[in-house]
Amino acid sequence: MNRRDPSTRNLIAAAVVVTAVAAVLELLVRRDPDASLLVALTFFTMIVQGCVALVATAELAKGIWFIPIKRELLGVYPLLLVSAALSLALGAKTGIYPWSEHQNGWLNTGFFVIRNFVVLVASYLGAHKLAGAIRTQSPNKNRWAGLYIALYIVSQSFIAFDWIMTLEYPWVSTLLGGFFFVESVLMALAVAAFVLFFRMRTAGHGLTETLRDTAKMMFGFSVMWVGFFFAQFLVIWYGNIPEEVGFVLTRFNEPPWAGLSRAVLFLVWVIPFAVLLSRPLKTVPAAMAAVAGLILSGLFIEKLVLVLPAAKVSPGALAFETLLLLGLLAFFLASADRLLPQQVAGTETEAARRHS
Amino acid sequence: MIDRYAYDTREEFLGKLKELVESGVPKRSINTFTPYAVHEAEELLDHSQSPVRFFTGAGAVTGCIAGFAFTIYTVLSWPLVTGGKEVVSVNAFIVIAYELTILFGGLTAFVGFLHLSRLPVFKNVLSDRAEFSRKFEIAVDRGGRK
Repeated sequence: MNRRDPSTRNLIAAAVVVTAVAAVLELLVRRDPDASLLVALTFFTMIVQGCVALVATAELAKGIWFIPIKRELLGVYPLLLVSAALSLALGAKTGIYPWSEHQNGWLNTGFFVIRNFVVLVASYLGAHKLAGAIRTQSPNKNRWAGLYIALYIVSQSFIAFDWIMTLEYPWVSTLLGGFFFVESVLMALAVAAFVLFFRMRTAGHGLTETLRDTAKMMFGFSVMWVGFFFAQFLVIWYGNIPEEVGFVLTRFNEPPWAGLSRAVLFLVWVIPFAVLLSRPLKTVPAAMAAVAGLILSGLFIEKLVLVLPAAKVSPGALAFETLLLLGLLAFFLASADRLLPQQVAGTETEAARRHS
Repeated sequence: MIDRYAYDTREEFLGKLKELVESGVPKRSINTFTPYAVHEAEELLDHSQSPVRFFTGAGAVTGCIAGFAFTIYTVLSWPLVTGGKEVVSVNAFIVIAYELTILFGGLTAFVGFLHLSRLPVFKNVLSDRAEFSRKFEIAVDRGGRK
């Protein structure tokens, strides 16, 4: 990443402006504790971390399917700094958490903010090193990929346990961290399908095999997502312990959460499962973009279902901040060639050769 | 009678295969043995999508239905109320139905694969079994195998 390049400076400026606007909005304009930023930031951070994790995993597995979209997926890694900066703003919103009135050694505002900030910055540094190693084709790139994946797992677990689960403190689910990082990879695959959709509109059908592979991965992770969901649901349902089952009852039996929970299941698993079974549809960019859109919408609604029964949000602020962050993500995805130029692009030839 | 051709390289193998196909040898009578998948050979021999998926699908659906039928039938025949749950608790039965879906799907896929591949084959179709791991081999059944 060349900071002197004007287009790179535009990217940095956009990231700074978006961070500043969201922070000012949350810290100065809307001072009441609500969960709008939490929902938007969780969704955004999961997508960004998932994109880099997908690249790191594929690098480790010596995958070739992802090479044509590697630049786009890896190019979003600087946005982890935006997540880290905005996580500081969550410190002013800890009033949404039930533990805020009875703070303890682990759950207190200062430590809550610092540990999440440190983990997100560490995850950025890991991603930065990985991007550098891939750019220079360093022999250490697998080591950085492994380190990033470890940081990714820790960071996603913190997002799940700290940011989301403590909204319902003392409700606990030990699987929520794993559920979040599987979900994050599914989000990244959906983003990859979108990237391919836009690239195939201009680049013809040279990316058909990559699209097919992405669709297969989406299918697999969609099934894995529902498996993780059911693994959590079944033990809570079987145990029927009052302190656990309340969380599920609220979200599955009470309107409007009951309807939304079922919608999530349809959007993230039932419909993608039915569509992605079809072999020909896996190579139709518009169909895959539609499935990716359904998955991302479903996972956004899922965040609302997880958060809203426990904390209020302002619909206007939520929509504004989500669109702001997703706009920034789209800007970075569209500018990937500025961030990771020739060296990564050069490997596309290799992918094309092997696919042919 | 089986004619066998063995090659060290994929290019020589593909060249001979193309020559055989172009000379009018029926594709059904050609068998190939390669150390790894060679998609060009599949294309030359017009290997369309394998129908083994229908075996898998039928087995999976049968397994799913059998899983639910088995569990529901047994709890209705001998009701054991556990933890105050309903006698027919679909949530718990999903696990059994899922397992049987995978089991039946896997077994029927295997049986379907054997059937469609005309396996097991008891006569030796390879020129040298020891070379199987690295040679690219073509076997043409001149006896007109069906």
